[in-house]
Amino acid sequence: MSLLETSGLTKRFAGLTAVDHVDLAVERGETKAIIGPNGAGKSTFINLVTGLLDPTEGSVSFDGDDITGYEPHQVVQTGISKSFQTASIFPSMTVRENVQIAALAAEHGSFQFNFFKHRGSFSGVDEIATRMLDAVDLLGVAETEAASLPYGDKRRLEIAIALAAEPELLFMDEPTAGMSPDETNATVDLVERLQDELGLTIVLVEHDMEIIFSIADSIAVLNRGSIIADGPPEEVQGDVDVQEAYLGGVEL
Amino acid sequence: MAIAETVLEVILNGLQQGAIFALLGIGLTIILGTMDFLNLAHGALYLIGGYAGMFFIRETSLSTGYLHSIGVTTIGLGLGFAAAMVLVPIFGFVVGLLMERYVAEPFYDRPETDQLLVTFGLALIVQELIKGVVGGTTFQPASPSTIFGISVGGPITLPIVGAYPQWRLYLVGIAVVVIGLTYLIIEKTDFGLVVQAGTQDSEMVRMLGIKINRSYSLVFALGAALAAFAGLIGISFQTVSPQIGTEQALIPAFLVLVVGGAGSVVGAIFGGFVLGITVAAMTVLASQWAQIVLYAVAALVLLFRPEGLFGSTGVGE
Amino acid sequence: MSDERADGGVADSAAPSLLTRLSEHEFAVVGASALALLVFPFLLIDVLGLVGELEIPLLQPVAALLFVGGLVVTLAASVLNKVFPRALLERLAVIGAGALAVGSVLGVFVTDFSIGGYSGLPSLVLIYGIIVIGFNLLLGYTGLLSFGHAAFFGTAAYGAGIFSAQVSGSPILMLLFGTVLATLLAWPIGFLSIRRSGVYFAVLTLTFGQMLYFFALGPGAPLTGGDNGYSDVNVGDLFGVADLGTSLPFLESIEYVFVAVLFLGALAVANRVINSPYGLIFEALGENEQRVEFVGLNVFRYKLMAFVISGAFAGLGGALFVMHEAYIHPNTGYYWIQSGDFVIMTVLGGTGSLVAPVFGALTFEYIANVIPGLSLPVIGSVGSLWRLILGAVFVFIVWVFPRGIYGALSDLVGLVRRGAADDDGGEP
Repeated sequence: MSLLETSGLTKRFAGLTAVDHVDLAVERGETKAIIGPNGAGKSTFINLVTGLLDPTEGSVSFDGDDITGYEPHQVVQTGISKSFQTASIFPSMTVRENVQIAALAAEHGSFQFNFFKHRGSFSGVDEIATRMLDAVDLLGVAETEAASLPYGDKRRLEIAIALAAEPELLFMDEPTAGMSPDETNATVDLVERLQDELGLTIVLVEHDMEIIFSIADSIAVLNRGSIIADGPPEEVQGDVDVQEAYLGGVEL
Repeated sequence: MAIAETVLEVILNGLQQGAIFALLGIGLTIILGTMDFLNLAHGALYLIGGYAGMFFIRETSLSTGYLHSIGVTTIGLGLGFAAAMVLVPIFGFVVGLLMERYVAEPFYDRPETDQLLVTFGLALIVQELIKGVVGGTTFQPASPSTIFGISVGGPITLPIVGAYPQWRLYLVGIAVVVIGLTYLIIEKTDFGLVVQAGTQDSEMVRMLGIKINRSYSLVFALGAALAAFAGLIGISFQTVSPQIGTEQALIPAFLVLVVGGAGSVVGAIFGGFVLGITVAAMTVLASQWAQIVLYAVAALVLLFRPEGLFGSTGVGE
Repeated sequence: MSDERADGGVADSAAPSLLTRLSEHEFAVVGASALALLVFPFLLIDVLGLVGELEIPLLQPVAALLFVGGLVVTLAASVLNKVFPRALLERLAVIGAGALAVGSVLGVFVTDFSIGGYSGLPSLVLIYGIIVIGFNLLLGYTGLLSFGHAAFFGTAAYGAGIFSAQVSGSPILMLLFGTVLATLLAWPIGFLSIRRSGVYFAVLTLTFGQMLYFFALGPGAPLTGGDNGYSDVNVGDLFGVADLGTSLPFLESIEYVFVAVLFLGALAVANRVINSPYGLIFEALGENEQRVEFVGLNVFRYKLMAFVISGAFAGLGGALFVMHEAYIHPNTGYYWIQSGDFVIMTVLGGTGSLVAPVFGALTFEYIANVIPGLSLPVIGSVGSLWRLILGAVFVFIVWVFPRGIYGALSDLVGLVRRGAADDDGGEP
């Protein structure tokens, strides 16, 4: 059974069909890339799965459970996390606190009445936070204000936050957008390490073909809301429809 | 026939009240829609328009306040209602330009909360300033007796309703004309197009290179002029005091915004008249509950149809 | 690629300062505040009969110089700084504010400029202090601006008042009743209001407050006394023995002690909440609400909790208020101006920390109670112009010192500390 499965997933906005009957499956442990021209519906698709939008038709299931129509926080609690395209962090809180918030959610669920419990007595939270910061190499600046980090570090913090929720599946929305070649390499290494060390399943939305071909196990191509190809990189590379979708005939 | 009489009277009164609400709502909605600026000082513009109108129309005697204490016992130009109808919007326009330049613009990039706070503070200052200078007493309504030479005081006999003050009909008529003109400006002119486009997506308009700042000033000034004009109409049948800015104008304006939908001029017009007639009706039926019902209606709309009845989808919640 | 926000990124990797560590423990916070509260009445009432009496030579001109000079420098520097941001201007503004503060305090002892407060004023300030501490959990931390908190204040006031008249005059019981009533009300109002955000949230809260206002004035008059207000409040003795009105040598009255103790309790509770996971979550909500949802937290419920908790604080304040005044009217209890006052106090004091808003309550009540009695050169008696002055100060703070008075003062302290470090030749 696939870890994540969408069935006939569709989203219509007053006349525009952004996502059109998408059937997608993501296997446990794999790194799957979703690519497609701008406006193909990639972001909408992710928003549907992560609960930000409700589908017009179709369903989403995770680990066998139907999660269609779940609120975003519920989706996260079932084990899907998302790292944002822009570094969506908490600027005036410390790096450690940034990650602690996510760790809290992982530790005690989506809501508790624990407003009298002292923060210090949540050792589990601290442990997760430290581990995640270590995984992205930010442990050294843990007490710094997040806003003062250079952009590349902010992106890594972003990933750390997404990880601290202890997901089984991680959506990464254009993780290397706007990064220098060095930062890009570092991020790619990070992603590979995450897969190995934490056994994560990763779904990657990316435009950088080199990255995709170096780390993706399978690629799904979206065009105008529909999947036009879905398979291992070699297969997709040679697919005629895919080549046409990207400026008609350009070799990937 | 008493019921029909009451109903018609309510509708007539409601139209006048509704016209005021509509004018206020339009101003607020174009400012919010175009510049995403939350103007809690909108009621202050109504207040300024009302007092300016009162002083343009007639000589008013003062009994408290700073001016009184330095010996000024009457103030006013006694120019009559017609002159006020022209002067008040112009005055409001100018105030709007100044306000946009010195208060609104510095805050466009600041968080929403700051916008609310600074305009709230400004409204407070204006209210207290008027109270201090002119005095906090309540002045009697300034209903016109002639407009452009036409005698409008006194009742006119209408079918079913019977005697009804003439000038109220004239005022409703004038207000409707003004509202209509505003609608035409928004719908038919280039300026209006920019306003509409800005309402949908101001960033896009900016990127298209249209001189948005100049438009911002004009939008704000237009909204202010409308609010001031609404104040003029308001003082014709309601008492005049420093609190009317918030009580009679700001809160209803936001309620109209809520009902009609942010950024929608048509919505503001519709919402204004609906709320105006509701208030008029409730005042007759159960005046104690009139205000409560008004607020309840707005709350219901806000909860169940947050875009308002006409708001564009995708405008921020 | 450089980040447009990078400001040099000087990592402050020092361990949390002693002050920060202390603030995590209620005892320290409460203890320090208790000490402050012992001295507090002196600020407002001429308990020792010293005002206007001190005859230290040169004190008056020095105070005047500091006051006027400080005012001018602060205004000029901060306005200029807005137009041409310069570190020097920033420092000047803060120094000016410091001089202003010192001059004000000194001036207290040599002019009529303050300490004309009436007895009972310190209690009132603390009552508002309780309200704004709670309100700031909602505004400063969670980022929700409510213009309707008078709904809880007024409901608790009426509730406690009616309770005292019809059931029992025990202060403890009436406070409990009022507070619980207000808290229960905060659930539905919060539940409905939080479904929207930003200005629509604010308008919704305002709406509910106004509905209660008109209800109390009109249809609810049989219960509330309508436009006459409710004056049947019957406050009994504390614990059945102590009449609250009894005056005490240094601490003004038993009522003050009672209110002060409750204030300290409220402070402790708020401090606890901030040091719990809630504090972290509230702060995160204020910074980036969407992200909080996407780490798996139920944003709606947490916002609701912030609302209800702040409503409870407002309720306690309202119940204490009616106990203090023995009278409540819809204009004071429910009218939107009262809600607006809470906003003003909180912002004035500063939204950045736990106690900052209390400074705002102090400043507000000072302006409201002491300034009307003053006579200024041209205008004569200030009288009801105090609201104008308040509005001007408020706008000034929002514009120039968004971190409020407390923020300005702590900037000053930081400035002084940095200056001292520089002098030592140590690290800036």
